[in-house]
Amino acid sequence: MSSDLRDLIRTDLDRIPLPPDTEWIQPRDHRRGRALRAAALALVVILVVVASLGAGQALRAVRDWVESQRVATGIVAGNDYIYLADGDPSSQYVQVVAMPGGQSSGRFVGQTYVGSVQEGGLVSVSGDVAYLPVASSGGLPPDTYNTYLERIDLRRGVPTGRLGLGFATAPRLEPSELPGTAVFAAATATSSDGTTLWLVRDTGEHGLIASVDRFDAQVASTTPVAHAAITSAGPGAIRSRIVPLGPDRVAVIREHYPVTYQGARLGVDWYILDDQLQTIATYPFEAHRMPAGGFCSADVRPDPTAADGWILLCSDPFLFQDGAVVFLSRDGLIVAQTPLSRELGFALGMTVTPDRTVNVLTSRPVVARVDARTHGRIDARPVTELRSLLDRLLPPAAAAKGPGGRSVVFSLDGRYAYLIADPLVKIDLSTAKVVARASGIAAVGGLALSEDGERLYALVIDGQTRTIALLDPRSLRLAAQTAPLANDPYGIVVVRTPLPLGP
Amino acid sequence: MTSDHEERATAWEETFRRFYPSLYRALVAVLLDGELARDALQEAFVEGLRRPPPSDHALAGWLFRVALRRARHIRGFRLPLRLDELVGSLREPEIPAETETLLDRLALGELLRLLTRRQRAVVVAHYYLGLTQQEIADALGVRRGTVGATLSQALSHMRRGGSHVF
Repeated sequence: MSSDLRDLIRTDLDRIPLPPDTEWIQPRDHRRGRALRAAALALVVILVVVASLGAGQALRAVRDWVESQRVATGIVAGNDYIYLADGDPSSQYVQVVAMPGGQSSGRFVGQTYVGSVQEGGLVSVSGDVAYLPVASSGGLPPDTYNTYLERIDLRRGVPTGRLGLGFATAPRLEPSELPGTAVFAAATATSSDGTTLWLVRDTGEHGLIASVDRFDAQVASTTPVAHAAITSAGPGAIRSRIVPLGPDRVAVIREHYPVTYQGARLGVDWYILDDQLQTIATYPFEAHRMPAGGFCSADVRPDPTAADGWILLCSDPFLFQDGAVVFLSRDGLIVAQTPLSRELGFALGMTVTPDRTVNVLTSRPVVARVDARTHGRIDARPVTELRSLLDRLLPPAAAAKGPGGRSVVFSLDGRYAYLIADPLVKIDLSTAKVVARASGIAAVGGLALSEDGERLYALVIDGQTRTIALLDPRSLRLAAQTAPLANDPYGIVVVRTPLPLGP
Repeated sequence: MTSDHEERATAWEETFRRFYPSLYRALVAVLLDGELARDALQEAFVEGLRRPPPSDHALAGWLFRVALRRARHIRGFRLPLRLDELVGSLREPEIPAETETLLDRLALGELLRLLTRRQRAVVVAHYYLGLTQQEIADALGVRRGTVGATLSQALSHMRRGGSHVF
């Protein structure tokens, strides 16, 4: 075999033609071409790599430039009135800041229940008009108050009248009772069309009796259209809030506090009232009929799958018990509830997308999705970062609770959440990814979107200085920031676009 | 001094030309690329001019080794020979069309295609250039036992005539 192979190899290879012998030792010109091609190839590879690495930065620079141009031309910055809660708990105010200039254009005395430092505890405002409950004691005997509702045109930022409620004698309370809430406890709500006004006042010992009134806001009469009194049992002192459920339903939310400590609520009663303020559904927290001890957000959403139905988000801020997404009928009956395990964290807020999915964002943060049609939980996904390798050196998103107001707001289409999280992140709820992160601002104390969703406002708390930052909701880029605000506001109540100036 | 240099160059050219036909054909069989074989041999000639071989002994082996090394260098961006061989035929470069045509005319062409470059180098060096296994080991920078094993594997593959390709 070897001999045959040797012969085959020799015979065959000797048949290979040789190059001309004059070229055997001559330098070969095309070698340089090869070298050049190799060099060109290497150059192309280097350029591609460098271009790939730089493309992201270049795109970002271009985007930043475009955004700066948009800001410079006033496309991002818009005219809005920012209503801020300030003052101490027993004497609260609402001040108006006109954006984008950032100048304070008014401050309305509350001396009553504008809000608490509790999550979502600010006064409920919908529509173009707000009514601030006011108890004035100036020039009156001790413990006597002149009570009225100050009507505020939110689109003009000015008071437009008062609705007198008469003189009242404040209940004599122990000085230590509910140090975090107002002595004269009252709250209002308006329907979205501005035609109906509801007022709830906590009266009697420890505020156990809720006085509920409904007014025709267009008549401006001091005589209520309907009146009801709700007497609650249970421990502690009670402070009430009121949330409209459409034009002819209202929920009265009664929060039980330990008498001497306002920070830890014991539980929450829910009462659903009809247009005549008749109680049609009752959920006292001690009966355990409402999940999570009745700790449900006042941010009630319409149920897209049921006519006049509503969706509540219930979650125990102390995580002693599980939460739930609760589906209410028009009559306030619980149709279904989808459990949310307390391991998911405290539910900060929810949004309902056009495809009838309820997205719940929790403090962990986790995005839990619930199918509004079947009431079944679709999934629960931890929010993760969608960032470059270098950005991963930054700490992950972690929800932070603002000192006042909501710590999360949602885009108008329900897809994105803006969450206070060192200082602020934007989360795509469809993918549970952080898609943008604000930088260049200190801690955020409150958030609100403009009515058209084009401007995001953050109450920035930097030591003793409080400012309003205007951010682009798309990129969370800082577009403008006001000068330091007076009176140390702690939360954003509402944002309204002013009416255009008339001729 | 200039005269000595010219004399050495002339002598080296004569030696190179004497070995060129067999080395060129051997390199074509190993590299499966005629152009590359010409480039590699020309560079081996230049290398010999700059740094003449230490002795006249086993000049064919020296030129073969230098030419193979230069071929790797010319191709550029290639893995070292041994590592390249390690991954086998996956790393084999495409055979230029003119060399394909040439191989098609040879009875040996089909068999050479069955082997890895190292196997071709060992077979050709042994059976065509007439190098001993030790000379091949020195030329390729491997152990003599490796040369023997490679030769055995190559013969086995050629014997099976292409029924197995690794």
